[in-house]
Amino acid sequence: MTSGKRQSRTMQFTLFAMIIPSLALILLFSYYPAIRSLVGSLTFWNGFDPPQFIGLQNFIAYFQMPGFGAQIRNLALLLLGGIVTLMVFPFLGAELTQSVPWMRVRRYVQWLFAVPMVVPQVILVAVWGYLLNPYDGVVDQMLSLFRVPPIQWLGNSHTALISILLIGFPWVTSLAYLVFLSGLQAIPQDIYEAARVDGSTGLERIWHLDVPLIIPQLRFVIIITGITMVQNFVPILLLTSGGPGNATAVPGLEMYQAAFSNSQFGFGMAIGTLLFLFMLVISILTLKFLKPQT
Amino acid sequence: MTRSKTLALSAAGLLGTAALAGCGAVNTVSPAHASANVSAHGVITVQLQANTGPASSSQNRMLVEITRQWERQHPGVTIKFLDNPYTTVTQSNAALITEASAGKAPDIVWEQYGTVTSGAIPAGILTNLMPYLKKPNPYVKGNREWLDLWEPVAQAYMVVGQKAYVLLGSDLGTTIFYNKADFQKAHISQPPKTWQQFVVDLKKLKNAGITPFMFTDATGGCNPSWFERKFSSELLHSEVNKIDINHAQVADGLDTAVAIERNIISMTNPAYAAGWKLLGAVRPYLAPGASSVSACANVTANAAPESQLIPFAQGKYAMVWSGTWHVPDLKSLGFSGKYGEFPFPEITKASTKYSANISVNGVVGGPNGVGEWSLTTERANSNLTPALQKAAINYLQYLYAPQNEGRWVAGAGNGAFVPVIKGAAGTTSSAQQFENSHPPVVIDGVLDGQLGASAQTDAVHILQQYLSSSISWNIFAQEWDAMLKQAAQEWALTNHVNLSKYVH
Repeated sequence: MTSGKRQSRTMQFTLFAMIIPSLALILLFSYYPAIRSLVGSLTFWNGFDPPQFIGLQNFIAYFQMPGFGAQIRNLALLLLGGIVTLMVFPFLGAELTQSVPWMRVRRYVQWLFAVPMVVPQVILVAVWGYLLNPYDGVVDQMLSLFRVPPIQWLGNSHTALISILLIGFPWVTSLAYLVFLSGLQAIPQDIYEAARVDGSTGLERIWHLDVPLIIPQLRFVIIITGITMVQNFVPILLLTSGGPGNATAVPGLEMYQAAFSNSQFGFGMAIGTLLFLFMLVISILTLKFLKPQT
Repeated sequence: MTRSKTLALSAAGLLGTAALAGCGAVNTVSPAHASANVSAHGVITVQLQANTGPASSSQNRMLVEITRQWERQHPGVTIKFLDNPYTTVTQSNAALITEASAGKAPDIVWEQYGTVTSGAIPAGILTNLMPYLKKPNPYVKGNREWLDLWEPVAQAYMVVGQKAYVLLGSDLGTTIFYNKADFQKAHISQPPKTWQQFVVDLKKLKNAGITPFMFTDATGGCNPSWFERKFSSELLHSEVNKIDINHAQVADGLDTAVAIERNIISMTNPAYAAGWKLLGAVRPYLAPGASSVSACANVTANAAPESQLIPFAQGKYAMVWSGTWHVPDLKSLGFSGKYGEFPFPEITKASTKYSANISVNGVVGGPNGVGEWSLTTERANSNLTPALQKAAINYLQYLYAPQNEGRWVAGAGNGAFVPVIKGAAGTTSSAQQFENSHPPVVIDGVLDGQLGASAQTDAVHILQQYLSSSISWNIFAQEWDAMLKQAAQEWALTNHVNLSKYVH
């Protein structure tokens, strides 16, 4: 073996060795809890006494609980609403940013859209809680200018879920915006030139060029948005606790409450397992049917 | 300074403070003598109450001061206060269970009698304090049993089935605050005393263009569980003997589960259903947005449920059912002098034929103010050696001695908390006038977590739908009964109890 090859081998081994601590930590803190959760979902466990194996009873109990239907309906609406708001608006934002003809101005627009992302979600939710407050919230005060009576945004079963979706309006400032922007920036200019020569309009260009060429980004955003909407029950926990009634109840919140309020850890793990399987299926379907185009 | 001098000064300081606090009638003994049997070395951890803030807060000032006095008498032992980052005892207990499973629970933890007696905390986490309560408190001269120091009403809440897992510290009261200007505008000259008069006043307020009453129904909103306790204790009073398995002041988880299995706590029981119908009849007068606010939330809460007091002080509704402990909050909101208060109206036969015409004022509030402490077990807490446990008991005996308990409780409550140790210095407040009578057996239902937090959450969600008129009475009754049956079965399963033994 030449000294060059030996050095290369040593370098590769060193690099591999440097990955090992990260891998070990990921195995310990990500994979082990996931597998533990899978096993735990088959047990009755109050968190203190030894777990008792009960087979699939936790899963059956969840499917049979009275609020199950409402939770699935709410999750579906949030997924649908989330995909619309967290994909369409950031995409439009990215398109508008790209359409700014002056480079310096375009850069400022990018910054303006990106900077609000640093606001922690809890703060954002709290701010929206104030905005939607039925007694002195800004939203109702603005509506009152048009003689609209106060709306119980979070306290009414008809508007509570919509109010949760409203958080972050106009929804441009998200990771999806940056992903779409980078995708659009990566499209070669000569393709646009060719389209212009062919006489395509702006909308045609977006539909026939931009959208097909950023399919990889779209797939990524759909999966990430899906996971976010399934996992992220923080706004609901902070603003409505799933109410009024079951108007904003979702499986993620049920999982959290089961484990951390009700000490039904096995039941919570069962819901967590179901959510994992659900997102796995959504991700596989997205990857299968949304193929990159050239 | 020598140790003996320190002890002597501590004792002098202690006795001086006790005398100032008006405890001259209490027979105290020398702390040095009372401490003689404690030989432990180490740290005793105390998980603070969630609603009194950190150890540095003004509400905990006297607790810390008394604790430092005790520490000076026990140089080898340090009391370490742990902040409680949770907002409710349910959340706090969920964390406790997790810590206990790893053997890392704090030594002394904040509890409430309801959660302790309901079976919500797995057996083996808290120590049965009865053996210690049956022995003398060394800090009280001539005391034969520590338990004798508590007022009989408090003992009734503490001891269930000859076991005691929580020491109670103070009594408090609930009250309805009303906006004086609104009452004047609606031509209501005096506050209502009965439910019937209350309904009349609700109508008057609504006719005057005022939103009459905020009945908070958020998870942890307090009003629903208070109302359930009020009407159940009143309307089911004649059926207590059929469900009172534990023969204690408060129906526990077993009593409640048996009551459900015997269809006493059931919509099929007209007396029980009548309670919810009374509430249903006032739906047109309730303020909207009730699922977002709580009667128990601090005014500083910035996540749901938020306090109902801020909109109340802004004049958004005329009445709220709150607690006397919130009087300082109304002051801080600049509402002093603008509101009055009256006890929750009594449900009489004029409103329902099922009324027992008894006073149930004392069934809500009660000994749930400050100073409810439990001791964890060695299984839940590997730190707790037998010697440290002995020291922890001695510390608790010091806290719950008449010369100390009153100062501590009064210092924490801004006048809202009434000590429950006989002879303790205390403050007189509206709480006392509401709660000074011995209440009947308290029948608690699902909304107070008697059958676990899961059933409590489900119940709140069903009630929210009913109160917001999203579902009819029939659906409400149907869903409520289904929830009750499921909750009773789950409670029995969790607590390894065969309910059929008590039903047939």
